[in-house]
Amino acid sequence: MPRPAPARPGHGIPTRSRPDPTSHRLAIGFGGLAAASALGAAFLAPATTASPVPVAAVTAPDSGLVQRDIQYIQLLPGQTPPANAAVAAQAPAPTPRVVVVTTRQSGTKP
Amino acid sequence: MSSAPARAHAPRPELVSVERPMLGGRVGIHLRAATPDHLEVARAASRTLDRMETWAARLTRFDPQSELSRLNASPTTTVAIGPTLGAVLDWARAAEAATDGVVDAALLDQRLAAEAGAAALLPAHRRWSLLRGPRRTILERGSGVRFDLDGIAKGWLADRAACLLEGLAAVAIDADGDVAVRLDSGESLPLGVADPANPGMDLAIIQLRNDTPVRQDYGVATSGTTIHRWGTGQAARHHLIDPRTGGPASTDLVQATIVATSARLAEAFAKTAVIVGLDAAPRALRRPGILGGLLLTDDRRSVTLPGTERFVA
Repeated sequence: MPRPAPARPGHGIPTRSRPDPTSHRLAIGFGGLAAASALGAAFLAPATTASPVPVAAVTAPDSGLVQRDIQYIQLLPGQTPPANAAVAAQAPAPTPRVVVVTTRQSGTKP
Repeated sequence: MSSAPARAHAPRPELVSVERPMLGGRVGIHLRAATPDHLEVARAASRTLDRMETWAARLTRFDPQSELSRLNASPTTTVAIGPTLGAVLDWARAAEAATDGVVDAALLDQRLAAEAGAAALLPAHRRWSLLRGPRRTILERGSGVRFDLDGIAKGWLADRAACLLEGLAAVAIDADGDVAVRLDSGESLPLGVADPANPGMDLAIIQLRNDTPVRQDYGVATSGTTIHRWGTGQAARHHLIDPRTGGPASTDLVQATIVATSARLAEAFAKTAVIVGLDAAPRALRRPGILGGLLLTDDRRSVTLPGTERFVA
């Protein structure tokens, strides 16, 4: 799903600098073990994708260790993350407050 | 080509905001009405804040005379409690079930140990139950079970206060960062997500909209480890207790902001996300009523959960 266009100036919503488009973005995909395997195969196969960053060792079934069905997939610029994937990116630069209502950790000083 | 004359659109009324110190921080009520009678709208907000103060006074652990403090001080295992405390504990029980036990209202001793820098107290059998009748609520608890309602109460207070305000186009109840929002059809409201590292600055803007023909409720809440913390370096502790260890959660998230269908649900899952950490949070947050979320890692990455794109400007 393409990301929405940034808000235009004058709509009361501050425009904020977008992350460097050349920087790599990590998509964190979750699913069942079978789904994770299928997902990994789907993203490992195309020649245009970068090599996935290995983050979980596959262990022998009787090793007593827990196999984590988590994969971090490195996207190339312009690629969109798979559906139902959480997307991680470097946090955008903060912008001066322009809204009346904020959500914040309790006890935050104004 | 249509020959209908262009309609002049009346400017949308501004928000009327009333704020008051409360709950150890700041509580604000922000209202938009079709009527231009800002004074009456402000009066309605003030009356609602009065009610919130009354409820909050029963639920705080910082006043030894509050109903919660007297409950915690009492050795009695079967206790009749009032309707406000009963309703909040009822929600606490539901939140514990919804979060698979991550949210636990019976961790007061663990919280106090974290504040004091004492060794973590592995939670023992923290059994408690409620029997809610038409006239009173009975709490049954194991010996030594004591409650810290904290964010559980704030989310509940925000939702409860929003119910008091009818006939308004937009309502936002900000209970020290846990926000309940009610929007009439066609209404919208932007909320800032405070940057914990830069006071007065926002990480993102969440745009809540009601594109349905009926009133729509939202809740937005933020939990994190950067405000309520004690000690430094290796001895640093924070207030989010992991019920599995009895100590501050070992987590790679410094903050989580959740959008949900109510403030209390958003609060419960914002806390859950931080406690379980980045790897487990997306799965833990796949629950009915959870609409989206923004997670901030300790290395300053922002993680956007699936479905959140429609809310982030």
